[in-house]
Amino acid sequence: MFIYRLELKKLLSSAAVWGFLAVCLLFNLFIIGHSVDEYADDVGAASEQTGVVLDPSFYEKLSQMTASGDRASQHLERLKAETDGVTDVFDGYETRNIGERYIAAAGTTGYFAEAMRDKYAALQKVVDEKAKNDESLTLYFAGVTYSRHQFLFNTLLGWLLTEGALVAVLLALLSVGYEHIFRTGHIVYSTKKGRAVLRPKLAASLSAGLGAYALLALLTLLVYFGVNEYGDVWRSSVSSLFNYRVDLIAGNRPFVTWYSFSVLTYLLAMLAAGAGVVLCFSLLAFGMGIWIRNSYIAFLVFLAAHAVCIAVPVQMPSTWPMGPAVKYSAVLSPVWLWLKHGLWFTDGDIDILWAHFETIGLFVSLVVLAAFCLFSALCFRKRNLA
Amino acid sequence: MSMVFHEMKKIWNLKILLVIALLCTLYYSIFLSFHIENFPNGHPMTEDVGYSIELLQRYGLTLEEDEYAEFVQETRAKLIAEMEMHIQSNPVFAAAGIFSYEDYEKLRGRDQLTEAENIAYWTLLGEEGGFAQFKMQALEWIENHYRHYPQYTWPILMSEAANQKERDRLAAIMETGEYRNIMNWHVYENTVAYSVNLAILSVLAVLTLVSPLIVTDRARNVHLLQYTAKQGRSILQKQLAAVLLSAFLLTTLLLVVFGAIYATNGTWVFWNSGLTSFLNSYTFWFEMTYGQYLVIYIVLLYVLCLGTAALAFVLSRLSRNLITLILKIIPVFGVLALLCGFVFVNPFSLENIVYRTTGIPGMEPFVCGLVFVAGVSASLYIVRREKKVDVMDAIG
Repeated sequence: MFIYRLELKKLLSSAAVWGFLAVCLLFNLFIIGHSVDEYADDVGAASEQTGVVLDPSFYEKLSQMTASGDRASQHLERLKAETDGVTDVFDGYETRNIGERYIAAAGTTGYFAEAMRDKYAALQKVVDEKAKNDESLTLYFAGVTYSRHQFLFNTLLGWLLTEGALVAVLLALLSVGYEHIFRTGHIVYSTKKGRAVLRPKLAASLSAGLGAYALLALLTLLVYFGVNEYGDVWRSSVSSLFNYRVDLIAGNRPFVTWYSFSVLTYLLAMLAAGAGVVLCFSLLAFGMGIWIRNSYIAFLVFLAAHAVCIAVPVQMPSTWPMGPAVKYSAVLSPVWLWLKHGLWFTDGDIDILWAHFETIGLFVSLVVLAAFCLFSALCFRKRNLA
Repeated sequence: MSMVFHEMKKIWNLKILLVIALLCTLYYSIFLSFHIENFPNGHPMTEDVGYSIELLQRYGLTLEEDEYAEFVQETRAKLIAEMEMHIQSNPVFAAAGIFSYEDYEKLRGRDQLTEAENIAYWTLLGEEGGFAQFKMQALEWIENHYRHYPQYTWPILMSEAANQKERDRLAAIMETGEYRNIMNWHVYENTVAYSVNLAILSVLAVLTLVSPLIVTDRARNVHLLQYTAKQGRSILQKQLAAVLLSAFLLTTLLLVVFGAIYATNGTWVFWNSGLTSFLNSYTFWFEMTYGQYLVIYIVLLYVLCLGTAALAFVLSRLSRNLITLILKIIPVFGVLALLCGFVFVNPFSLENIVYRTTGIPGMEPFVCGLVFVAGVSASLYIVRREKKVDVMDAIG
């Protein structure tokens, strides 16, 4: 524990790390500055009085609401118009066509086509359940739901994830390469603790990486929710009838999640899954740092490895026997999970074959990368450091 | 000079070169190959580009009224004959009750088609029908753009002009007939997309190559040895020269390799074509040809990459180790990549973001120049400061 604290101190005493976090935070503030939408704020404020479930009580409270000022009156009228006469989008909604369109567009056959069909058959049950519970009849942000949802869960959380992953990777490389950088390796590795120092180093780099991600998320989201009014929308379902997905193959369609998420629980789930992805990147960087002593080269190899992971499935012809297997398996890797973060906890898109791909991907990646780290550390025990 | 050469040998490290080569290959396959493998991207883009090249080869750099009329009349007659031939020879048309081009044309205006009519309609849009209908659409596209420019496009552009400068430029285009230039929009868009991505790659490659030089020397305390030699502290000056020369060589290498790959698209046939054209959606501030645009792009890319290298030199000197260097490089790369987008997306046009933000035409070279001047000035300051710095201080 003592060595862990010292290792952590080494990482946190780097001014460049704090400077980088400050730059990331400034960038996040910049993009948050461009997210302001007065109508959405008014919907958020109105939801405190009306609630978010579109039932008779909602309409009664909405009809009794008054607004002062031209802008507020216009927004109130717009809200009334948008919520008037809405129906449950999940009533009679069929998911089978989505799977069939993906199969046709990708030219998938055999096991993969069946797996895709199974996924959408399972989704149909979820949709039926949502229809039964009238889950889509919630307010969210009415007509501006799509833009607000995309900004928070796709743009902002996407940047947070990128920044968190970068810091975590560099902290892992700094931790594992510290003795090489400062030429203290021969002293450290000749002590009683010796090469077992990698264990506290790993713990320190993982906790520092996750801590940096948590700090960035906390400060960014504090500002975001301070600037944007959410009112009672927190309790609204993300599968609201006002929310949808733009899908070039299957057409625009409702935003369906495997579980029933409110905005709050979806945000927490996304942040938790984001932390998992950050952990994966951190583990990989640590393992690579053990093998490649030059931190600069290690970082470049880390980038190149991920670029390979992106490029190979994209360039591989689907007519090749292993093509579909490689393509669908690649989505479970950390870099593809990062790219597909906007689809976490949903059925995904044409590239995603299995339900709960983010959970499976995180589990598989964490197991594989933890094993890689362990293997690297074992090899390091017998490596000639001279 | 030999010192510069030796410093360059340190920069052109085999491991880093291999990683850069790998990154460039992957970058090409993710971001650039699409613009080569899919150009022209489907139909009727293929036919649009084909007709533009034909116009250029037949009539030269501009399309006059009589040439336009001749081309449209001849090509339409040829296309109708081709369609008639397909209609007569392919039984799917007879099955749908189509016996002539006029019958086929009547289908286009109908909302509901029978299955046989649908098959017949799509036959002329497919390979079996020689993409004849797409050729007709491309011809109509050219026809509309030429005829509509003075009648509709130009008045709309005038009414949407943000200021007097834009109105003056548009008036000059109409007065001189500059809009009659033959420059295809898809070709221009393709070149812009490729060039922006290539600029980002060049900046990334230069940063990756030259950044570690100073920080690696310092991490190994080599600078203390260097400072006691005859060359003394002026070594930093030589290192700056080596960094700039390396950036120049790498940019040249990237331009040669990726330029040669791009040349396979065959867009060079538009080399002497004016960019402001009835076939191009953008209006440019100056009477500039496609070739001049490419030359200016290359010059600006050199300026930007040399500025990037100078900035990398400064960051390298101000970093204690390679990780802190990377932490500084990432935000700088982010800003420079954004600048590439600002400068190289539709440069010198009314739509360029630098012009839209500043309201001053032709600011693109200034932005690249600013990066260069800022980088070189900061580097020279660092070099000068080094002469008095306490060498025992790691950062100085």
